[in-house]
Amino acid sequence: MIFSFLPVLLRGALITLEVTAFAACIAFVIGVMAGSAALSRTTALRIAAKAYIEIFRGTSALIQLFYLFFILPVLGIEISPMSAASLGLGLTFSAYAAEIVRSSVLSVHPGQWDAAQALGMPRSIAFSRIIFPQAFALMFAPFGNLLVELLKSTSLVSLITLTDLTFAGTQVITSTGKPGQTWAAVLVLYFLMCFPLAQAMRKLEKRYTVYRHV
Amino acid sequence: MPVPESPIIQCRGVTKFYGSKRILEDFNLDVAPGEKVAIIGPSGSGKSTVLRLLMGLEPCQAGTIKISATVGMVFQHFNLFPHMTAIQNVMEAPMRVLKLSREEARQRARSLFEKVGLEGRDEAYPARLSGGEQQRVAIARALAMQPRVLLFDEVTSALDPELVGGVLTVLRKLASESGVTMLIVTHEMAFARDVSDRVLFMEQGKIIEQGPPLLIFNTPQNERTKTFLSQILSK
Amino acid sequence: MFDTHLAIQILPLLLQGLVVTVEATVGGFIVALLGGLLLALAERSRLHVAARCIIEFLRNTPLLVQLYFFFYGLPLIQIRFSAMLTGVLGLGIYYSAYIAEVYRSGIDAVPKGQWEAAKSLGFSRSQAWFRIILPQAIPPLIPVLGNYLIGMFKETPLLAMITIPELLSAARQVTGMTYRYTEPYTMVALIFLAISYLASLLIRQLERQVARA
Repeated sequence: MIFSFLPVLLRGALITLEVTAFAACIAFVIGVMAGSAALSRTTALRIAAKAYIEIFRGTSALIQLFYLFFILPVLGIEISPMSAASLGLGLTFSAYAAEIVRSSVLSVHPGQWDAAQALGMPRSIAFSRIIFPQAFALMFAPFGNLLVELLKSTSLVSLITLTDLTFAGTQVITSTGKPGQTWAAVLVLYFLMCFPLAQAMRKLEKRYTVYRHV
Repeated sequence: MPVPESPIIQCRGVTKFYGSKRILEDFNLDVAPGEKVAIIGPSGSGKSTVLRLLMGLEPCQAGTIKISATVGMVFQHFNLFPHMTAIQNVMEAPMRVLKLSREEARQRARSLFEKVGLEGRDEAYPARLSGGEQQRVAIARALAMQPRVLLFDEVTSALDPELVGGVLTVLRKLASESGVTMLIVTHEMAFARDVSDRVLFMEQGKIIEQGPPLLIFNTPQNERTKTFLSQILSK
Repeated sequence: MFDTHLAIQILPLLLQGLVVTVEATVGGFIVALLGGLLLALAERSRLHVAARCIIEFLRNTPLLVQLYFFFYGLPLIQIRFSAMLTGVLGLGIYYSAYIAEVYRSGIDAVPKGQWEAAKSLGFSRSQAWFRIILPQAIPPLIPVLGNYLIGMFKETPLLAMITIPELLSAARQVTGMTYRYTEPYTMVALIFLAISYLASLLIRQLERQVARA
């Protein structure tokens, strides 16, 4: 009986994947920038980056979504649910991504910096050619986890009227009046998206961590 | 004429693999009650594995092991409980397993501390003790359970040289004063010769030669025994 | 634009919601600590396949949908918990899957020799667990567990969606009454920020103390 509503749920799942993709791009780009800035020698830049990270990590994802969705229009900025969702989740997760970048770079053995300096490399070259490639190998696993968390967090966008999988679930319940079955089906669909994603990220991680410092 | 007592340890046809690597093959051993057996041999010969199997830390793939007694073990790396003081380490098992009262356990621990030469170190945490002291706590801890069989797995190998003597003194005393059956895996040949009733030389998972210490150390019969001893004793 | 007078006026109402938030967080954390321990122990026993499946399912599905499932589904099988109980259980069970992994890493960090020593002294498995292994495994985990506590605190707004009157609920009440969004949501954001920032400073302090020990 629930199966006749599968298309509705699947359409919602598609939106879920769309939001995940957009938010992931925003989170990654801003995260790398903020994370790198947080490592900068320039104090002002470092403090600004750390403040950014603290603010977006310290508030709840849902609050940030509500903030964008309800308060931007008050300031005269019209924003679609998809944009608000992508931006909101993107900014929240960019702070976590920045932390991953920062701690991964700091985890690279200090001896690597010493070696680069001893060879006369300027800091920027040392960073981009020696340090960051090694740090990148360390970032894989946490980024993989973060991506799965992001996909799960998209369920919140149902609360700002975006028609994702969770929203589709509420629609199906309105039609069928069967919350137990419907939410169970929604859980299974999320699992079928997240679990393979987690496995794929783990496989990718294994392939690319050849560079890990011994 | 005294009836020979039945062996306190009996191994028959014991075979042990780690994955595809064979560690012990068709291992047979009888140990009489109160006997002190030293096990010597190169690393990888399976000596420690024999002790671990006897202690039940690992299963064997074939064969039978019969031990008609409680067994205790002292480890190369002490394995003291870091979150407890020295005396708590010794008291814990008698209280929890033998159900002794706290006072009884404390008295037993104190007298054992005297025996191993650690009076006054009761309240120290393992991290504050030297390697030799830690190992003596470990010996006291094992003795507190009053086992009839005690296994010693290279108990001085992880110690700085100047601390080895202290531990060996304790072991010599134990061997001469108590009726506990002891199996001692060791590289300390002089100690093995002084303390044991029987010496086993093992190589690649098999007993190559065994006999009284004077025989094995002074007049070894097997070529491989001779080679091993000359390598060790020429250091 | 930002009516500071209104912001201060609504503060008492918001703080009432905060009390519920804290209650739910603490309750959920206790459930997660216990549930996580159960799962971690089960993972090392004969039940490890079942435990693994439960953990993977909890970690790969959203908390919001799990809450909906419990809140709307349990009454259908005649289980009538209060909204708060459902929320605390849902939050706790979700996080127990994460905390089980934390326990696991702590337990794995205890040297194998400790197990062997316990066995050689005749300790039963449960005695070894509770007297030897766990007392060594858990103290280094406290900062990590603290971070999860903060994480749970930040997820409590979801509980508003199953009618629990916590902080976000209070803010929505205000928006309903005043038709102003800026003040309530800004205040809520600031309250969350203040509390999680202070809490994270505490955790960092704890980390330093554990590192010294």
